[in-house]
Amino acid sequence: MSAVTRAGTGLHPALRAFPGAVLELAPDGVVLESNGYLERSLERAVAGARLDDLLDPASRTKMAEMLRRRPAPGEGPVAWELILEGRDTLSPHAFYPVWSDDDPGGDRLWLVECPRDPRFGAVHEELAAVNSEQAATQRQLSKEKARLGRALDELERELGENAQLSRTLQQQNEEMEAQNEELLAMTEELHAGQDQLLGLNHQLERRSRELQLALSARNRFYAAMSHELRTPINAVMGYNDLLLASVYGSLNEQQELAIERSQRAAQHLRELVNDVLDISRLEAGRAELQPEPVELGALVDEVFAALRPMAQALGVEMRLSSAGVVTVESDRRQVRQLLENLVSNAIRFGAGAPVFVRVQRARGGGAEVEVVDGGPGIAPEDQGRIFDEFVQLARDENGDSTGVDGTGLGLPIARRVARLLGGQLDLSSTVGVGSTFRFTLPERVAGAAGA
Amino acid sequence: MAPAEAAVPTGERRAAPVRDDAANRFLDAIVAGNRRRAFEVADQAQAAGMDMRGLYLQVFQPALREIGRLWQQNRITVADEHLATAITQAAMARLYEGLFASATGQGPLLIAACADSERHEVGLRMVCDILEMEGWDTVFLGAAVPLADLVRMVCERKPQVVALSASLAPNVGRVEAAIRAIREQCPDQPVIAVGGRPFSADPELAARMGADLTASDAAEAAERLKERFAA
Repeated sequence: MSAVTRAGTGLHPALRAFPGAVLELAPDGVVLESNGYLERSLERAVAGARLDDLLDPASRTKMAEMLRRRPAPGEGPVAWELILEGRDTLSPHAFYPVWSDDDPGGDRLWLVECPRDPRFGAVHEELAAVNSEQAATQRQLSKEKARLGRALDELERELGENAQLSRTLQQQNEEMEAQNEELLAMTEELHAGQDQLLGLNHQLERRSRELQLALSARNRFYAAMSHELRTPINAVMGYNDLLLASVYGSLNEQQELAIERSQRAAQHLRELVNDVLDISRLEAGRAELQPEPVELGALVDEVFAALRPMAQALGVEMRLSSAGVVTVESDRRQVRQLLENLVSNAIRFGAGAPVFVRVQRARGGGAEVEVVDGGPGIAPEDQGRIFDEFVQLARDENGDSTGVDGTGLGLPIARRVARLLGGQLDLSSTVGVGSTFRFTLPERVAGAAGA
Repeated sequence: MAPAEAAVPTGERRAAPVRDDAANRFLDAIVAGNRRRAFEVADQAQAAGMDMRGLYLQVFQPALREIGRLWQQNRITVADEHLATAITQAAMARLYEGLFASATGQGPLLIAACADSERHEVGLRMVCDILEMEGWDTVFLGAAVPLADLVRMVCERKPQVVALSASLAPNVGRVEAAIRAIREQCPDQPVIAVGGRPFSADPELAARMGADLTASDAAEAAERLKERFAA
């Protein structure tokens, strides 16, 4: 199209000064003339541009629609609101369309803006801002209120839980108090029991002291009596010896037999007195130990030598079996007494069978000595009793009591001596086979000790 | 100016007498600028059993769409449109008490900001409200939030989603600047969603600006975000 055909009709001076936009458009939508108003507000060229290029997309659609629905004559003008794009802005404008039908060059369209007080725009913006702020505030408040409500619910729930907890604690407290009271009662009972125990203890101590006094009195009595008894016995035996040695003239056969019996009775009496003296010494705790190295095999030989006359008289063999040299630190005199006691018993009650003595090292240290006889044996029911004082088992079947007499104190003394030396004396026996007395000795005896 | 939702009126009418009746009567009320009647219509629809979500998606959103269409047909003016939008916003605000009382706010956190002036924020506000109904925690900052403030808040509160809207083409640049600042400055990167008419008109625009997703209206935006964060 030439520049001439594109020219506008020229705007009336009144329209040039109009306080709003006035555009003259060709039918193809090109802006032919502008009164310069839009150029100022949009900050861009308007004349020569297509109107579409000035419009935002929605307004472009609207403009096309408006142009299709060209109002019938007489319908009256209706303003078209269009949004024009500036360099960085969008602004709405309301235009009245005016067609020129008598133009030979074709339909010309003038768009004449309906000017508005610019303060309306400001008022709209302000109202929108207030409205929006109000909505936002309402939104925030509602959200906060809901949050607070939930927090409050949570608090109430916690309070409830706390109350529950408090009740539970109180209950537990009460239970604990009850338990405490119970404990206090139990403590009091314990105290009472303790007092009672203390009383009993005192009583026991007093009894114990009394018992000790009684025992030592008894032992002093035994010792004194034994001593007093030994003197006359020695006198009796002395005179018996003199009589038997015919110092007072020769004795006839009957007299000699009577004196011999008297002498044996006196001997027995002396043994009895000696044993009683031993036992009271042990009980009184007066037996003082003198530890020294004791070679047990050698000691057994000594004992065999001392008892040989009695063994030969009864036709009993004595044998020692020793696994090497066994030495312990102990009281030689007491060990010897123990051995003599057991071996002489074995000779006396062994029914003529050989007597064996076995010496060996004990498994846990120290020594173990066994004295074995081939006697009639001791029934199980008597084995516990045999260590009691003054117990002698019936030996009626022996008939002859010569040489098998005893005081009944030998084994009780032997057991006391074994204990005094830190060892133990036991018996194992089978009726019809024989008896074994076994005693142990520690490697080293404690210095001085009571029974 | 038309809101974002007005680009293409769907004109779709499904059979649901209460819904359509409420939508039409609400539209009539806001076109007439009758705030009281608009509230009454919303109240009656609720009394008839419509929930908040229904009011948003079947009454407010179609009404606002229709407002845009009426402006395009030159049957109402920009002033009418502003008034209708303001009344709709007020109608939404009246529901907030109930909305937040039933919302748990335990879901993902979304922070929303609008690059335009206040008149155009209603679409974004609807996205926030609908997600809030779905259990999300949403913070709606409104219009014209200073860029530095927005970025600082995103860095501090570490939302799963930042939603930005621009209805007017000149404001797209502000959305782009916000996206760039968040991408550069925040250590925990959120999903960034954008919306508004320029993004509906050019489907590639959102991706070009570095956004993660876009939608053409509030219902679609809420739906796509829910899908993205479904457990």
